[in-house]
Amino acid sequence: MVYRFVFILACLSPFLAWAQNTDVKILDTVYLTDQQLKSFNTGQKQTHISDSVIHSQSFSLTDVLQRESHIYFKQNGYGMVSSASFRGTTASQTAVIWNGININSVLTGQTDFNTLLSANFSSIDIKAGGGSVLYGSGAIGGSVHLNQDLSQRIEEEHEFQTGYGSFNTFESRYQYKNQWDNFKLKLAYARRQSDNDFDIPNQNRNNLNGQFEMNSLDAIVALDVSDHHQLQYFGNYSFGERNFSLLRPSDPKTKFDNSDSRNMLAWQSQWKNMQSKLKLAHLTENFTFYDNLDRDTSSSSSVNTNWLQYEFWIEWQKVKINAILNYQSATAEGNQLENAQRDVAGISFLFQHQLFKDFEYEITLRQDVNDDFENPFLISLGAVYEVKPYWNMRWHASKNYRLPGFNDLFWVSGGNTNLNPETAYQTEIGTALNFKRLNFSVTGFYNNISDMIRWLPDANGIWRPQNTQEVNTYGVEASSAFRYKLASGQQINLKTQYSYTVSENQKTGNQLIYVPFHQANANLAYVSGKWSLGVDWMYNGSVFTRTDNDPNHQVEDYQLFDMQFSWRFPQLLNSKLSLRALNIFDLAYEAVDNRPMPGRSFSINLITHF
Amino acid sequence: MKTILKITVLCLSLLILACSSDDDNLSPTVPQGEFDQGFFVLNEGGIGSVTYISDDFSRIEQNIFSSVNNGQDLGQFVQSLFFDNNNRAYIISNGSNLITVVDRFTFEKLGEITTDLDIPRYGVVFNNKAYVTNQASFTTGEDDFVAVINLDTFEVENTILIGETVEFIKSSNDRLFVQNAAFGFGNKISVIDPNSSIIENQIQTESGLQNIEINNNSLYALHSSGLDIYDLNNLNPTSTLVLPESLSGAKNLQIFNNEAYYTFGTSVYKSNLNGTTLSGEVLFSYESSSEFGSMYGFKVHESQIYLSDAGDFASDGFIEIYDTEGNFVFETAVGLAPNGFYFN
Repeated sequence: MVYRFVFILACLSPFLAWAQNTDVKILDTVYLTDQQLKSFNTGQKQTHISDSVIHSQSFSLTDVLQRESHIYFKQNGYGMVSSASFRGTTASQTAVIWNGININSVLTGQTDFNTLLSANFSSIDIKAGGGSVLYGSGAIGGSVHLNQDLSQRIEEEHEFQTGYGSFNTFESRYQYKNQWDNFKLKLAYARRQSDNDFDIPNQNRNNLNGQFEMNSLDAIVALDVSDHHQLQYFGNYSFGERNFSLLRPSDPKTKFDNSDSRNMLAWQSQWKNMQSKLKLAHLTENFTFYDNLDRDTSSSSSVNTNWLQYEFWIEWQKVKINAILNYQSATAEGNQLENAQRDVAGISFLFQHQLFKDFEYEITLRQDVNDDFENPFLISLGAVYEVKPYWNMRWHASKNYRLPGFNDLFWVSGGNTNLNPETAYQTEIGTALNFKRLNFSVTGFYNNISDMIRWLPDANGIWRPQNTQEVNTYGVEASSAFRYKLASGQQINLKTQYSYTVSENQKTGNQLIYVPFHQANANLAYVSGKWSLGVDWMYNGSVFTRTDNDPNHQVEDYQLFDMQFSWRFPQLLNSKLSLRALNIFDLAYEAVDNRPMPGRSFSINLITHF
Repeated sequence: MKTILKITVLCLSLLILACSSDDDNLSPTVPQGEFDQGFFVLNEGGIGSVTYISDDFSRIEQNIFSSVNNGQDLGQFVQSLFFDNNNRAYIISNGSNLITVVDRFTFEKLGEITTDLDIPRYGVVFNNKAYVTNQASFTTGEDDFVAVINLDTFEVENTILIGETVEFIKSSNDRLFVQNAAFGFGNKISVIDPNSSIIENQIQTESGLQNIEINNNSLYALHSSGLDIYDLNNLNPTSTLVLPESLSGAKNLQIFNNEAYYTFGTSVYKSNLNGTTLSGEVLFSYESSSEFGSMYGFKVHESQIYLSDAGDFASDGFIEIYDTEGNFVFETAVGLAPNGFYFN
């Protein structure tokens, strides 16, 4: 398969050489590898989380997203395995995209959001709804984009942040960036560790065996070779050790070590109205699970993925076209995997057209080539109509898919290589109002997911994954943002989000377990010159824990309030000191059945720049 | 990672419970406690629970351990229960390395055993000591052992390394028998002298050993091709009843009134032990809402057949009761993943 792409690249190269002769440079140099995120999103809603918001929260990606997005997280105790349910879908139906690359685990098909630290990302974008044409397997409920961007011009800067809080929690990060002529560099290291031994009052004990430490080492290097060509390197190395909290003191103590690396090299070329991007990436995931620390027995798996993507962009008058060739090859080794290897190639074609001044539409197509599956043909259609300068209507429809994970396919006893991909058809319609002080958006969506993979015993009693379930999800998402300037230097900001989600098993008519009907969050901030005060509110509705929706077996709804007070000292190393209190009313709650969560906690945090 | 945990849990859930012989307890006419004159259904969980059902079916109470003991729970994955001779019941939770000791008639908690266990599964009492099989590491059978528990102190006072997969444990008048087979894999039975705690013999059967039972001075072993019967005096095989090939993989062996009962899929079969073959004729079948989790627990007790169905393991299961001719008697919903029946 790889030869086919080399061939295509070879065919393109004379064209590239020709293209180099045009010397008018119009397109901005944007060191953004996930350019589709900005360019091809007609009809879909995206939420942007800036670095200042990221740095005002804990380093936990779960914590940040719970307070800033519609995504529901099923966290198996604080800091433990954390999986997403986006628009009522399952954990493997949210794609996590690192600089444009899908980094969901090849083994499980999902991302454990507590193995990633948010601190070193320059921004996080959340895209609701299908995105498989662009982001491949798993982009069904939506996608979470972790971006490491470099700005046009960089001044030398050291940034240091450190914090300490309840349960012996340390968070520190250091970032250095600089530019020497046409060479730019950003290096960052972040670490988060906690004893995580919070009180569980109604059991008269502490959280046991919950300690964890996570690290993230990140690098971006960019070299402007000429006006037209840049070379870029992006690297992330995430590694951590995490013990799993006990339900009872006598439970066996278990531990999970992970180390995952992502390295990407990109060669970007641009001319007047064309761009060419070649990206090569190597991804690894490794974990070791210790099933009993007293015994020190373990099992482990490792995955290597090679990833190649070529993108060709062209803009002509009001038309934008992007063609993408993608190839990925993954191999896995582990105690419980057999012959785990997969190659997938895909070809995508994206077309966007501003038909009228107030109407834009886009069409995207993708065909995968793969020997192991029925190869789905994916399509998405989107349109935006600007009714008034401050009011727009949008519509989007797409077909998306999720490939079975390696555990589903190659598990030593039970793996099923005859599985089909899960497929999802969805549509959404939304409207947004944008005034100077107020933004408001509401979206209705519908999603039909079939061939969902579940592990069930076969006729011989051996558990095997099978394509069985069909689920319909539908609901409404609303969000608003309000800004008001009181006097000079004083401002009030209020952001709110609410979602109503039905996720219905078509066989039983029941709501899926661990999908709340209602979910909401809000953030109120008062900024006055050098200091600011913020209040976060978060609400998760009750969830069923049994598939028959037995009302006696639910995790109760809960709402949490957090407070934050910050003071800036520009004269002293451009510092900012923050005091944070989470769960200020000390609510005893569970996020998952029998998994108590922490009560009130405090932290103090300092950021300096020099 | 989640998937791996899930699969581990699923594998654990696959093991079907056999029941210890406690038929020698005569039911007294005066109830000895709230839960006398009835039976318990063990619900594996998640967090496990116990359902009580009175012999006349007039009382069905869910989650009795928590109700009696101020909301305490039994730990994760309640695997099995055994009784001693002092009216105590021992409830084994394999996911929490925990054995909870209760009064068998009142279900009041009397103590717990939490140390020196490693994925405990099944237990039996011999000479005022409990012998509990422990699976230890999931990845190897080499560390599997039997914990010997002092029933006065509730402490593990000795361990017998078996070194191969351990599953059910049964006792005769003078010996312990540990099944070295699980998940339908394995074909050995270790014979232990409880006085010396030494494995003095190992019986080998055909492949796919499912269950062992002890009844009337005989040891019965159901495997993929038939039912072997051994004389307990000399451990010599006395006869083998051939299983029809179409029923290979039959499980849930019970011996009652000189007849063998076993299940395949959602059907129950019975055969007279004097014959040479096991019957392939269905005694009765029941309807399962799903194909998995059927016959998750099975027991023949005093002319009645008890079976349980775990549904999808994520909602409450149910039990059904039939007479030994296959006539329907009773059914009711119980807790999450019901896996066994125990009689007061």
